Amino acid sequence: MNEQVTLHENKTPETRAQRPQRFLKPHYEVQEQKDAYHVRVFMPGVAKDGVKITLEKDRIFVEGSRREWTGASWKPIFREIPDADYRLQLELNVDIDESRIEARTESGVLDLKLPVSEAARPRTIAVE
Amino acid sequence: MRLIKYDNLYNDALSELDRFFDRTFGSFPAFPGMMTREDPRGFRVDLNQDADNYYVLAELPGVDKKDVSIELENAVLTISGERKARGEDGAESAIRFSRSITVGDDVLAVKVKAKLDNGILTVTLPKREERKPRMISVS
Repeated sequence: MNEQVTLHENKTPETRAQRPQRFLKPHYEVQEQKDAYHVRVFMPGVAKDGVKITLEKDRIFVEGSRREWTGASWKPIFREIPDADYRLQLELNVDIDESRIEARTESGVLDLKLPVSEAARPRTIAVE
Repeated sequence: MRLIKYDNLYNDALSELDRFFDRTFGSFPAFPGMMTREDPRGFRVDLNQDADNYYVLAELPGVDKKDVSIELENAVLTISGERKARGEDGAESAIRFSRSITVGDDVLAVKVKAKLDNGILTVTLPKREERKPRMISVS
């Protein structure tokens, strides 16, 4: 018992890289626009280089890794912000024009614009 | 006579539930539209300290720097502001939020600094020199 306590004390604090990765599902909003879907993913603490977007068939994966944002000498008094990265998987039920997907990050929010492909757009058919 | 704990469910039923849901599911916010109210639990905060400073962190994604206001009164730090959102028709709407947390009373208020980086607000509150623990040598 005693030994365990000293072991614990001697351990240097883990850095983020050493800890097992944990994931959170971020809060997101989807807006349907005329010819595109606009997805806003709220990922506070994620910079531009921490975002990874993968498109696979009819699924879109968003991964956001946070930077270390706490100082090494900081002692927590209370913590609510979970120490985890973000992962979101969305299923697309419409054809998306992959080549025209736009993504940008600003103040911890990822803006994704998913244009509906030409073939999937509603069209009016004139009666001859 | 029955003893009733002060920290019981009936005093603040929601805080207990919030904690449970946050720990279990950990999503932000727990329910869509949670930030639409002026909710004291509208966003997450962290409070840390080291020898020289207190550090308050708050998750404010999508909030502009100029829309945040920070106020320190006695030992209570209040972070409030608004998040602007654009609706489908292009009309702008703003969602107000506010939260107060208690920091130590030994803060040097004039030297408080804040920065907003990638949706995380960091407020650095230096501790007053005269209130820091000091070593006194026996002469």
